[in-house]
Amino acid sequence: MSGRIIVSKPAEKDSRSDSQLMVDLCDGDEDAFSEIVRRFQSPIYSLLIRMTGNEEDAKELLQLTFFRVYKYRRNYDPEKKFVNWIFTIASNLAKKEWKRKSRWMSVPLEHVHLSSPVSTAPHYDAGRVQLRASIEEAIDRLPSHYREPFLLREMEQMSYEDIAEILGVRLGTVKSRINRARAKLREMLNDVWEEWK
Amino acid sequence: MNCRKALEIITLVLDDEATREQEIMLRFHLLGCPSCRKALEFSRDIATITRSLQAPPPPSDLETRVREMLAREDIETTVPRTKRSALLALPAVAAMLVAIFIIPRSHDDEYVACGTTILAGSMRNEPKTASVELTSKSRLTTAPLAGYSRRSSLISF
Ligand SMILES: [Zn+2]
Repeated sequence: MSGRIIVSKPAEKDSRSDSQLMVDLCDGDEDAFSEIVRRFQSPIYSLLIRMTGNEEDAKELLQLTFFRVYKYRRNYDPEKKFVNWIFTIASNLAKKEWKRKSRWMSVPLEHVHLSSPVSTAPHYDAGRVQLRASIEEAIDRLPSHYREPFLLREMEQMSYEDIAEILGVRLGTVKSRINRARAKLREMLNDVWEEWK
Repeated sequence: MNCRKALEIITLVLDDEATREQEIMLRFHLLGCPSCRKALEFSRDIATITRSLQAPPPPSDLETRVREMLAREDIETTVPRTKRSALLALPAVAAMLVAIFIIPRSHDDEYVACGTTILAGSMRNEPKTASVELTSKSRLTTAPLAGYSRRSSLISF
């Protein structure tokens, strides 16, 4: 008597390009939207957390970003990079939220630590954990026009050209803002870094 | 090359955007400038740690929530505004009618029952607009979407 072995087929990876997914979505393929959410939720969420400074607002803006992707799906030009389009939406929402908040409040942003230091540090050492926490706080304290290009570069590894397109600024502006962001971070973190070295 | 220029090139080097020539010029500058050497090393550490930062996982019900928002939006756009305001007024009208039936004529049980049944029935068929459930903060989910325009490849809201 032989037992039947049921091998469940692993979910196949969707190999469609981002822009193809958008084309398919416009043609009524709802699965294409699920795939877009799956692909972009994490990078957009981490940018929004860093831009808003708290998870609650980031969650709402994340939801709103995908809502707009769907709602304005027909405005997307498949010849352009989808990643730039979706990041532009998220970035505009974050800026709007930032303006709205800064109009009403002067309190500093709540600092969210992106990673739990103990569990994620490859080689746990107190100095590095301290440095990491200080870096996160320093990034949060950067003016938003420096912080955003810096994060798109460091966390998303985007090219200067893509960042310029997302933020709607010139290439030279992107370079100088990233440079200024780094200079400000060095200024803010000098003591803790010296101690850590 | 002065330090200001060197720092600009340091940023390009960190981002792999420097030309070969810029790299060579920077290397020469660094030989005699401990302050820029420190800036390069320091920025590299900041970059390494920033890249290793990981956000918490996004909410698992994200897609469901987005689809709910889209469904609500659909209801709001498919039900004409005048009909919607009429529907929104229904609970108030119902309360008034119930008050009229119940308060002065509470002895007339059959009549009351009939009146409320009709009203309850008509309200069951209402679209959800009258009791739309908002997510955590209504300001975001209900805020009207600002005019949307697209200039060249960029969008602005
Ligand atoms: Zn120098």
